Amino acid sequence: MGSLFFLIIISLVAGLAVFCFFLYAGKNKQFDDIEGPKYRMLDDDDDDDNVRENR
Amino acid sequence: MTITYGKTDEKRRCAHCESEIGASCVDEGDSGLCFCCEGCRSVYHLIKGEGFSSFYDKRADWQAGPVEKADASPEYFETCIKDVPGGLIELTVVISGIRCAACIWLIENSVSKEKGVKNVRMNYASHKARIQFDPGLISLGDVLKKITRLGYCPLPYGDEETVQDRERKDYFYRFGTAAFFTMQLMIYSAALYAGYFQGMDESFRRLFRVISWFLATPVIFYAGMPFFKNSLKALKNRNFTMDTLVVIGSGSAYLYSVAAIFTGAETYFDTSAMIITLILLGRFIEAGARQKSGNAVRKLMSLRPSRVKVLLPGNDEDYVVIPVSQLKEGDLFEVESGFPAAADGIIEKGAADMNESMLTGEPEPVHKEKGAEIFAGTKCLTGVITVRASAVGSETFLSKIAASVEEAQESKAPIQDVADRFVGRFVPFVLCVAACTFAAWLIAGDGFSESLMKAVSVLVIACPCAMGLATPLAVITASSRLSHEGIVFKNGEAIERFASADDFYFDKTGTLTEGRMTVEKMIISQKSKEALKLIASAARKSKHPASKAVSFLEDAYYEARDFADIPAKGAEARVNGESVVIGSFRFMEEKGVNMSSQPDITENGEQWKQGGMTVVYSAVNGELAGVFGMTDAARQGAADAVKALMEKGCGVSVLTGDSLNAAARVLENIGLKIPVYAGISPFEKSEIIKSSPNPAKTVMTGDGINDAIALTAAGVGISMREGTDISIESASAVMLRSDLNLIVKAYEICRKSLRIIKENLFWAFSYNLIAIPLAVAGLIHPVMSAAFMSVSSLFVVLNSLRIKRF
Repeated sequence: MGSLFFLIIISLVAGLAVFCFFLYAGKNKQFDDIEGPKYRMLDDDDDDDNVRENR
Repeated sequence: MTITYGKTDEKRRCAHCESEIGASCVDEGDSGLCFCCEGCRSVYHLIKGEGFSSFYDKRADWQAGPVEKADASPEYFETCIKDVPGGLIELTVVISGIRCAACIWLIENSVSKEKGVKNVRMNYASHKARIQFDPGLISLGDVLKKITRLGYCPLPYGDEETVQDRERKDYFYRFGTAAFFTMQLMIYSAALYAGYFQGMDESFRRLFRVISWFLATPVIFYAGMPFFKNSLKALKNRNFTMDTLVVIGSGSAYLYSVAAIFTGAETYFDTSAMIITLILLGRFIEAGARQKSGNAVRKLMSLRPSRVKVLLPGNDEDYVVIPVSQLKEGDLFEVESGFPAAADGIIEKGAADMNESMLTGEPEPVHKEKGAEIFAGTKCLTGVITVRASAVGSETFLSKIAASVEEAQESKAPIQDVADRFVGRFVPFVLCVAACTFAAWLIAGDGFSESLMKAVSVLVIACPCAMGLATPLAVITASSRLSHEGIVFKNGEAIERFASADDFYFDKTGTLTEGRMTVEKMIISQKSKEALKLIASAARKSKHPASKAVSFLEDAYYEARDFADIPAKGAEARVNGESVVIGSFRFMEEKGVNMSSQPDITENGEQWKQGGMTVVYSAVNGELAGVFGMTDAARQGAADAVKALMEKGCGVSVLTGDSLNAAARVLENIGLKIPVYAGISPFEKSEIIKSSPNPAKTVMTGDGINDAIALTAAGVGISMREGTDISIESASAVMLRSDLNLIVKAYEICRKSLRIIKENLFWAFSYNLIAIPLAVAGLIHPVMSAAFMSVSSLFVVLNSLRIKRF
């Protein structure tokens, strides 16, 4: 039964860590543009060589 | 390459913007490409030339329409730039004219290709662009020019957050927190459910309940805080709202469960947290919809004349450019053709034709000379005037209208939406049932605490989770459907209001009519074969609406030289070596044209003039060549839209600042017989709406400054796409296409959505009504409440999606 208590504590600590990560991500504006990534994912194919020379 | 300007025989689409090519087109013979306008052609070649032709393959969901012709002068954008580390400047603008994801790809890549531009990042949701550039290598003006050359229009935008942005962000964090802790909580609740059926060690049961307590606490007290605040506010007004029900349900479940931990009864922590989470999800969805429509509306607003040219005292030549806010009474300022006046004032020098239609509803320009009064916001069409400011800032006529709009907004009673009306009756009923349960069990011989527990479980079970999703889901599917059709509603309240409206008011100029002149009758002298083409070519250069109407008669033009617009008289130019004069009867005489040489032309002209038309004469090489009679033409589809509304049993009337004759002529032309209120002021317009039998059920459609107060006073105000800033701001809905049939379509969609909302609420409550008897009998278990919750929520989600399929 002792192992069960141990696992409960681990799950709660892990949960709290993920929650802190959520707050951190929010603070870094990760959720400001939730539309963009689904398009950007498709756009980064670099088929035109001259497009990104200044990047 | 041969380029022909002229008509096409077959239906073709513009190679850039994909809009159907109408009467005029730009055809590149040998490349096989055809464009709707010169603007589209230049954008197309710019994109091709830079190697971005894959833009045309990438775009999907493209809304056809010609490119926006924008002119962004850097001085408007000075508030939008800031220095960032590395000697760079960061520019934040909102870009209008974006129609699909490929546009954003194009802007990001094409602008970042420019020398000196380091980083371009656009937000897909808000269309806000952040551009970092090196001021040593590229100027602000060049960055802006690059965007306008691609056919998009940058609008100044500071870094400030709007109310909608803040609201959505707040709900996002609260919902995120609630969802996170509820998920953790469900792990232990599921274990407790399993333990209920299969047996469980008492020590674990107690431990799981305590953990649940800790996990539910932040959900109730942080995430649920807005509900507590709102219901307290409502309680002060002796109201029961949705929030009251949420607080009663989740609060009593929480307190009950805390007590249950100590007495060893079943706990309801999961119900308590789940109610808050699901309802927050609904609020979050709703806030997102509001933010989206807020962005759409903001983009429609045009650039304001934020700067004004002020002449220095004692000197006629020198002037300084200052922000409008610094303009003082008594200053001399200049108004150029094409720009609106910055303040009210008296003309000191010069003469101009002013378009005051946004103020008076009169479409014909008014000629103003020295000593005449002009109003802020009215547009100068031809000429340049110097004006002594008599009223600035909040003292102008325009600001007074804006102030009454605000006043009307404040005095407007907030409507109780469908859900709140439902809840208003439901809450007292539930409280009664709970009280009866408590009394009945007490009389039946149960202990005080046991009876109280049973009464509280009635309160817990009565709160329907699905209720929180019932309205928002229907509203967001309806508003996304509506904006796809081409009309943006600013909030869900307006959709509900619109659905129950039955009294429609329309403005005349710019709403029922095009708001611009169209030639209705003309006579062209037979002597000169090409007369019309010559006249149209000269007229094309003029800014006067009457000349513009004449120029639309032809599709192809000659080059016009030595052009001059003479305010209140007409215009003259040399076309193909021949001198062309357009203007009033008197202007013709002044120019030495023999007006008695062709009696059929002059007689008809005078007759039309008496019939209320605007009449313009024209002469070629000093000889009378033609006469044009024009009126403000009815908007296409206006008659159909009004008829459709009347068939649905709605009342339709016209409110106009114009004369009764003018209004009657328009209605006669489109064959409608509806009540007209003519010659009324902006303030009277709103009085008429307020005095209608049920002001909450009125709909006002308009476009001008003079409609703004009425738009606010009406239950629902709808602004046209070309509407002035203030009318777009005060309306609760904005049309993205100026097609009055949209109103009929939107009316149908809103009515169906309201029916779905009612169904949703009915079923959401029904599931809980089934559970209430079980709670009264003391038979309810948390497993059962969880089951009811998920079934009713699922039902509401599926039912709301039906709005998409109408």
